[in-house]
Amino acid sequence: MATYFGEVVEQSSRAFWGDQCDSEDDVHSDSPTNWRKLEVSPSPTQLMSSRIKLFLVVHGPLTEGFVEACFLDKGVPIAEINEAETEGEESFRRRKRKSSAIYSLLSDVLLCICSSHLDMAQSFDFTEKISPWMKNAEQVIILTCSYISGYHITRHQDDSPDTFLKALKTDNFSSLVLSETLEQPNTVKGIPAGVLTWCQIFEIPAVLYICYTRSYEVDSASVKLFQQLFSKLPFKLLKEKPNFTNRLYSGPEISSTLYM
Amino acid sequence: MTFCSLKGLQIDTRYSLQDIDMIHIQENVNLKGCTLIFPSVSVGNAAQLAVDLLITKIKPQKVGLIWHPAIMPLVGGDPYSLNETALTTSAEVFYSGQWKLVIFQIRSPIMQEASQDFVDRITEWIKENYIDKIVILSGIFDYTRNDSEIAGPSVKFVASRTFREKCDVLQRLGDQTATSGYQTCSVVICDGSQDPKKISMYGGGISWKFFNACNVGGIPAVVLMKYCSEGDNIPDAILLCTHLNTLLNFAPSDCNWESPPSWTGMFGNPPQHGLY
Repeated sequence: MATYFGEVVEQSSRAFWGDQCDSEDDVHSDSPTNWRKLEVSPSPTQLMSSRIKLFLVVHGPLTEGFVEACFLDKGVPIAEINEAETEGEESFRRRKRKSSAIYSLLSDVLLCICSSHLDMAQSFDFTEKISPWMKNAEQVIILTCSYISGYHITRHQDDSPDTFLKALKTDNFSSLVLSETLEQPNTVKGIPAGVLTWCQIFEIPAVLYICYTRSYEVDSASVKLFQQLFSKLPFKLLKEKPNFTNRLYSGPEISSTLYM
Repeated sequence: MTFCSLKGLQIDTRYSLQDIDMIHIQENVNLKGCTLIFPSVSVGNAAQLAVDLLITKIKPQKVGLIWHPAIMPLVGGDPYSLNETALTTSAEVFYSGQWKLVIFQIRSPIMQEASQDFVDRITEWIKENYIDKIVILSGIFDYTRNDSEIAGPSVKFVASRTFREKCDVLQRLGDQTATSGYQTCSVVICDGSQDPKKISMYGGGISWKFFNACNVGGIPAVVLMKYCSEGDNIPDAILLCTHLNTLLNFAPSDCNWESPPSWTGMFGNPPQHGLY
């Protein structure tokens, strides 16, 4: 039962990032960008229909772990999105950042897995990079995740589940939304928000599902939620037998909210 | 060249910022002659809170969205209604035909690296749509006040000469502050020749940058700023709204400013019952 007690409250941005946003001493700002630009690499092309029924964007360790375990074999990516090389070659290669990639799951379904190393500041650039595929999609589904400690409630709730889904959709999304709407004052930011905003502007039907959970380890509760979600879609994307034998996520990406 | 081939469908993944439309107006509205209200993302979110109060009061129509790398993407439910399921994004445009107002609401930080392009493109858009004048709302760090300012009012108007010429109310406010002992606000007239460092807008985000761009571009502009600190900035927002109303007269002077539903839980979740 979720109690939202002992929540970790992220440092509030208070809407701006300190002195660097003060424009008094920087009337003519010509400072170069601090975030790394992205570029798309073509990989061996695969034949598929030009019209896509579904463009699926997966962001976050939990959702990526679910896709790795339960989805059909992705095969090789049809495109990769990497940071452009701006540093000295040796230091850039040493960082070994994981790429974002686009895969073809079915002839008319594409899957985009976002790298966990992408900064929120790269959200606009990343969205623009994948926008050509989204323009050709009949609908876009975005999956993301967040710690339950970040879920805001306005009144005390008893018997709340530890893992649950909430949804946001564009105004023109007419298909069935398979979970409750995300209530105020909760928000989603970063790449998932960028993709949904872009779809709202360019009128591509899209829905975002966010999974609130205690831990980003893929467990039976989260798998069950996502399996229920995808079983109701008109696309056969799930394996008959999920594969949980590989370590799906490790290292610093899985962090506890108990200790700072 | 960067292409990914999709059975004869060539996808060009390069883009130029100049080729991307920034402000997407999705309704058929005529903005000519309107006043633009722009909340600078600044100290205490006072300006953004003030715009929330303004939108809750006059209920303008949402007419557009803004898409620019300077604004961090953010989405959520409708902040002004518990019943509606409309999507809200990080930067939106509202329009009130009754009061001839165009209102921007910005809900996430503005990245400094792209802020100059952001400001330049907004000023370009203002000219293209023949918007009459701009009011920039802002919070300013109150610890930057000098001795004479500490004793004075916490609200200041910094206006261009062209704005002052258009606005009788501002002229009267300026005359009142010069002649009466009691001041509710101070008025400073600033033109392009003035040293910007003499007018402190520390903590005001892009207020000065935008004001300067409007001045240079010949667009009448005023910065309505409130000295404040981080904390509960609702009173600061109310004061900003009250002075904005003095300037533009869209509500009774003694009106109550209602807060939108999105302000619920502003200071965290309610305590757990098990604590007691």
